[in-house]
Amino acid sequence: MGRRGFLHDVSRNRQVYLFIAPFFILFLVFGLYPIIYSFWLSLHEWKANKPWIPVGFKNYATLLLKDGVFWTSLYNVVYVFIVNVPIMIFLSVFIAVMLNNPARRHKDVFRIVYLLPYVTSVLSIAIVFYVLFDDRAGLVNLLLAKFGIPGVHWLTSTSMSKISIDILITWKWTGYNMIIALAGLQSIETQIYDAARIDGAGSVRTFWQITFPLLRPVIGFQFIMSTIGTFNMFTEPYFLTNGGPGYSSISLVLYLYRSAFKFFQLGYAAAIAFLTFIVVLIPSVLQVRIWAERDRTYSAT
Amino acid sequence: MSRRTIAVRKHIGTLFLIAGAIIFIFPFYFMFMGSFKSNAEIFSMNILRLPAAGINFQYYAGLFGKSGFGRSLINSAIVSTIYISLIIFFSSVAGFAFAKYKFPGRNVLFVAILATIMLPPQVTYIPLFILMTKLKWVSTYQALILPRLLQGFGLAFSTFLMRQYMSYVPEEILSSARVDGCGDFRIYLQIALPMVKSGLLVVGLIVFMDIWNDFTWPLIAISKLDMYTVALNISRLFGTQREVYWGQIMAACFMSSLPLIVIFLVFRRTFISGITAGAFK
Repeated sequence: MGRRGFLHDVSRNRQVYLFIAPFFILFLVFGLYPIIYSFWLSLHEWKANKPWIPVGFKNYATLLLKDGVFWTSLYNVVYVFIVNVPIMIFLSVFIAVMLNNPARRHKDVFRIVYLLPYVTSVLSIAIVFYVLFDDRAGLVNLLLAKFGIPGVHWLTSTSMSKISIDILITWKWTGYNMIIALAGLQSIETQIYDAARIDGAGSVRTFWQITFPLLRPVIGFQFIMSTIGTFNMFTEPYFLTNGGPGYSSISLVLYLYRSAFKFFQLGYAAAIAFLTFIVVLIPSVLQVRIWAERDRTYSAT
Repeated sequence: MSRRTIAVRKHIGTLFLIAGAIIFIFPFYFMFMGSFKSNAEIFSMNILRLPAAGINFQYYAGLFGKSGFGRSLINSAIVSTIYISLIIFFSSVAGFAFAKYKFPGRNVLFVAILATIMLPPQVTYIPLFILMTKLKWVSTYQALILPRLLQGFGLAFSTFLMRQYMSYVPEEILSSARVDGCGDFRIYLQIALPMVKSGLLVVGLIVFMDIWNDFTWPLIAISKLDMYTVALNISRLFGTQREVYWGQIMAACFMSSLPLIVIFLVFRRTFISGITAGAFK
């Protein structure tokens, strides 16, 4: 197609471009412009009522070389991720396999109940967990005491604060991941299982040799979404521990929020935002590539 | 494997699933019962005991009395309604274009939209806040709605879903309408749109959940009390009234969860199909 042919095609489709224009206009104003502005901010320093002072990459250097809190918040996020994601994905697949059993009754009831946490706001649930995990009189410690187990400082000790956040995230997202896994399982042909049974494969072997490999794309999706979710977490620590005790459960976004809106170090906070962005970029690009790949096969058919 | 071990294993599975169900339901039960209980009752072992004061709506009355909770419910409802309407219109018209027209740059533009789904919203929070300040939009509805179209399950994800639903609209109907001299927009509005009602419902539900539960962006964009959303109001109760009336906070949490739970129960199948649509085709 020559240059003229291209321009001709574009002008012939004027109306169609108008149909997709709203997204791109909104993206320019509320997406692209803020990202570029954010990068500009990260290279500047701001003091109340004074003009912005350009400082080059000083904010980044301070963050990476001198700021212990930044590294702590990165460590916390990675910690929450490592404890939470494998357990949550394993649980979700395990439950999905059980629900996918044709002999299982009341499947719909379980599906609905398990999905309730996903529908509810993080903040309401975080507040309930805050009450349940109270040191002195929370239900969890009272129950433990009944069995003679000394109370655990769920929210007020540096060793447990991240674990409590993990429990909250697992509670909230297992059902969502289970639904995704279940949909994946239902797309596997039942004949494959029949064949495996005739070959005398036990249920454990069937799982590892048939179900798991066929479920890999689904688990990949769960993994990428959980990675992004964990690195962007804010509301969970904000309500449950407020990042404490000390900085033991502060997350990257909570640190960003405090720097920007409590201490008004806007340039510095923008640098935190950009570094977080770079960290999340890798799993994001992976997922977008998977989508784009699938899109190509979709367009071809 | 004997028949007996299969039976035993099935029962163990059932027990496991029931235990899981109890764990997932318990916080809701606790929230609801707690909204009628005193602090001493909430912080006690007797979780199964009914509230001492009976089913007494004093905390709900207190919420609507002076804490501005009613006002925040109205704000959240207004914001959600406008937000959902905008998303449904923009995403369905764009989805229609992507599914039914071949035009230069179609694939590149579509992948560009997909890519923005992955954009972490926190990169834009600070500049957006500065922008809102400059536009004098802090504590307004448009601040809660317009930038939010690009965050979370916003316009990008909805366009992605709507294109799938639009692709099921039969080509023949569209071309015969075109022969009759129907314009592109009229074809979209009068022919395509009525055929993707279920898709619109899916998008509406997912997006409603996302905007109703949103906390981080309102926390940044809103400072005036009478513009608070439900989430912000609960956060304020939690921050200021903690240790005073836990029952009232539980009542607020329950009230904010209720619309979503009801809608989820009514449209559960549509909801589930919407959730899985992002993971597969």
